[in-house]
Amino acid sequence: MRYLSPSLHLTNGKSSARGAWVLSLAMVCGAIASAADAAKPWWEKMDPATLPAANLPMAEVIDRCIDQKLKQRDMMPALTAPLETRLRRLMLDLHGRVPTVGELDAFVAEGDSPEAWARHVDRIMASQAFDRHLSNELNWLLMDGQGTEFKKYLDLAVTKKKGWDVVFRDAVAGQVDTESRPGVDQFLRQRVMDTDRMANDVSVRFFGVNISCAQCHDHPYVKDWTQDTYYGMKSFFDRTFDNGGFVGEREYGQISFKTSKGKEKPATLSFLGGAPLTDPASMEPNEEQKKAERALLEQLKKDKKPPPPAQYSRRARLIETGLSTEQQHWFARAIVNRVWDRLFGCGLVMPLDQMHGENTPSHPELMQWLARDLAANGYDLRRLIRGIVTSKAWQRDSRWQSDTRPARNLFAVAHPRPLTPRQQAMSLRFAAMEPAYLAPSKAKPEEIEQRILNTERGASGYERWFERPGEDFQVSVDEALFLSNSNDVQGQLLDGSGLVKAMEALPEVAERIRLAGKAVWQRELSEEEVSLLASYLDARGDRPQAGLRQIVWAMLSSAEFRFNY
Amino acid sequence: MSNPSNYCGTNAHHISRRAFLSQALAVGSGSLLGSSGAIHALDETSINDALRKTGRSVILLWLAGGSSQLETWDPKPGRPTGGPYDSIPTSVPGVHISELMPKMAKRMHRTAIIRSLNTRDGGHGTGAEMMLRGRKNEAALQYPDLGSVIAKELGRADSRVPGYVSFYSQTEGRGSGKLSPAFLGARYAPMNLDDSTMPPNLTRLEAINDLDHRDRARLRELLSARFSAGRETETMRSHASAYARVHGLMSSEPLFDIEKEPRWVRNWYGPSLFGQQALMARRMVEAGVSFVRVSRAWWDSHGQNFETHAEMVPELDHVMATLLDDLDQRGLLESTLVVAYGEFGRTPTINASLGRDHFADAWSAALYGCGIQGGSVWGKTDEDGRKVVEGEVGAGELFATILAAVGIDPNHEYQVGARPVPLVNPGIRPIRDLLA
Repeated sequence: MRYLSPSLHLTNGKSSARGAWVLSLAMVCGAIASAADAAKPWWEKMDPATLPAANLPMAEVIDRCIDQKLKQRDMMPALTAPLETRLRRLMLDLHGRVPTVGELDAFVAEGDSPEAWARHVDRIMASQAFDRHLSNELNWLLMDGQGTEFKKYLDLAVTKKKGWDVVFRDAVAGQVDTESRPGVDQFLRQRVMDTDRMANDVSVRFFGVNISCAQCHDHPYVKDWTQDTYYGMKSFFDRTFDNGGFVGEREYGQISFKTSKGKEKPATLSFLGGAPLTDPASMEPNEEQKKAERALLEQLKKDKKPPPPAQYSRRARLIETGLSTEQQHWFARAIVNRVWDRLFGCGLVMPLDQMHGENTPSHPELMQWLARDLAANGYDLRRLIRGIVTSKAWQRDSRWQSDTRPARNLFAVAHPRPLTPRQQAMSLRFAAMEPAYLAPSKAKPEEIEQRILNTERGASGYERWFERPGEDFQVSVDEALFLSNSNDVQGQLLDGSGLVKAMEALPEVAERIRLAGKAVWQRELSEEEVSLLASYLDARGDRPQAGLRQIVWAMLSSAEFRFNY
Repeated sequence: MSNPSNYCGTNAHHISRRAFLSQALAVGSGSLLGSSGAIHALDETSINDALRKTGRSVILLWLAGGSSQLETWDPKPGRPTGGPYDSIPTSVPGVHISELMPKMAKRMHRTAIIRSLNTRDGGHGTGAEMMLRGRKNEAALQYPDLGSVIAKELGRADSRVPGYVSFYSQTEGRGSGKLSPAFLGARYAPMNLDDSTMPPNLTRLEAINDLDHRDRARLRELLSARFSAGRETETMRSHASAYARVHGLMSSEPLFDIEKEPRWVRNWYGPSLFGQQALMARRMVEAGVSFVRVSRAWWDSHGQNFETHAEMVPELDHVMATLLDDLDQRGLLESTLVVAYGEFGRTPTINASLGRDHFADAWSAALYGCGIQGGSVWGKTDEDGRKVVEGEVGAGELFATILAAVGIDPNHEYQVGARPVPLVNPGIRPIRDLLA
């Protein structure tokens, strides 16, 4: 059996990008000059001199690039948001929930300085809750939240601080190892019945480009993308197959396709329209060999064993090519853009799956700088996240008082983002619980960690009522009905609310209202708001507890709670 | 070898430039009629069409598991594939259907049959998805199902009733064919009645009185509006409008209470769950719901096909006939389209267990009501029902016909990102002979 060989030549570290990312020629050569340049992708048209120095702090580079563009437009950005708003935003983005009253007080007590902010960020990022939320987000990015087994791999990869390149490598290679890569093959298994989907999914999720338009005809908007590009990419996956629930790969086989003119054409292995790649010589097996292969595969199916890995793997070839010095700019930009989009509600390139050469980012130098920095630092997503959330641009207010709101991709004002199901479910639980439950004075740190974990788990049942926001997201009426009339909300969040009990324990009405404001909205209410809510309570003098529950409900179901602003 | 059948709205698929431009124009200038009319905003006759469309509804009788065309609309008595049942003449001369359907036979002049469906997919899950969406999903694009499209095109934005309701109280086969509004978004997702006939969270809890329920909603609205000032986004507006619909929907609660129907009407539909849900569907379209799916499971008769059909077809016959008469008496038949089919038909070959297996190559669907030419029969299978010999159509043509029957242009396009996506794939046309 020479077609299914026992070892896989796919080792970590081979052609690794770590440490020494040389700016590829593709990224820096030439300024916009000649007519010939017009056909080049945007990154080839950039002047290398416009890129800020590599050793500058990331937050500084972000602010310099964003502010420069605002200055060109003669536009003043929004002011920095109040500290409580920023802490709420930080906790939602990094832990997936709002902070409790106790946590908020502890943060605020440290004052509002860049140093204190950096300490908050580091403390929040060092927590296990940060790992859980990041892993959950990556599971959405790669598996649409459905990776029950793959999630185990992601949990481990995040805890062990694996670089994004390693996650890509592991997912596309699909070699399970119970110690270090449990469930990793689910990424391929879930897609193995449809290699078109596999090719497109890998292109979209790891390289930021949707090539499916070029499946039936040359891409309408990107001149360089032809059917050859599509089938060149698909060729990395066309030898991959399912064998009784295991993923195998052959060492032979070539696809062909029908051109838009109706001609049959063999596909050539190539990466995103790059130069053709040649496979090592392989022979199509004869009938007898094929028969033996089928028999072996049948036997493995019966034995519930995976097929032996291919000696020469086209998927391994994709990993090697995608992370090569010349090509890794696709990979680096794609994840920069995803993380940026997650934290700002708008990518540097939109749409997220159209990161091709003719779709210039809003801030090209920033995109190139961040991609270079990420690749040079082992694709460490924490470094990128930390850089973004310590920038001034990320900490802006979401309110725009004068005339027309500026375009989202100017990042002049924070964009209010709808919460994800996980953020909303967890925030409901954390906001409605006893406000001091997580206060450091109440229990030992390990005990508090456990309380947080238990509360997070208790919230997961709510997630199904909410939809994961995509572009042009609309809130469903099912969600409004759930919050208005469900036993879960009434029983667990209102009737049994630790918050309402704590409010009742306070003597003054105004104090009760202020506590609700801090627990649910993470801020001090204005006098006007307090008197508005007091008059609502006043009208319910005969049923004070019901009144308190109702104002907590009105705050929990309001836009202020529903959005990360 | 790949067989390109996808569509992504470029010249390569001959899309009409005029349609594309007129849509861009309508979007740019804001639409008076909502998205359903937007594309034809410049065309006066179409505006009239659009206005006429309101008030139209579709009821899908979903025959889950796949009913046999040979024991319903396309019998082959006396052939080796025919089984034990005879065919009977109908109110349309020359058209015969199974003897298990005497009531529909009398109403054939008001009903249309398609006997030439070749949908090529004999899997429960994948077949159901295709028959609910009219086409296969693409790698990069999931299509909305029929109910979501109908709810968007025929529903009113401010409707106090849900646009799309789906009953599925049978326990078997529920996993087949997941409903999805796909890119149309949550606004057009089905209200699923899986576990009870009452939708979840539609009823006010005892814990709060009606006045407080309304008052706290007003308080919520006020607080939200204060927050939204200077921050409003499209998504934030959808949040406000979702809550604005809550009390309207809650007031539709009696719709779901079948006890509100007189006893004689309930008896008329019969005691079966299918019958009662068909009656609920009638109540809903009467109240303005645009799309209702009622499911009857489980038709998957791999064994004892004839016993199964002897039990289930007369029920189908009775429910379809009663629904037709009831809609007719209430003057709703002209505005309500009723369609009956499942994920596929059943094999002409009778297997060793006296069953029929999955068969998507030559099967049938039936339609009556809004926009349908009664008494028409489209397509023909061979003498044993093994293949289509005349008028072959797929899921796309069936969908185009359904859309056209209720006045929706099947070529209407949605904009998904940069890409125009038509309601049915290009080149797919309605079956004109079935349309009134």
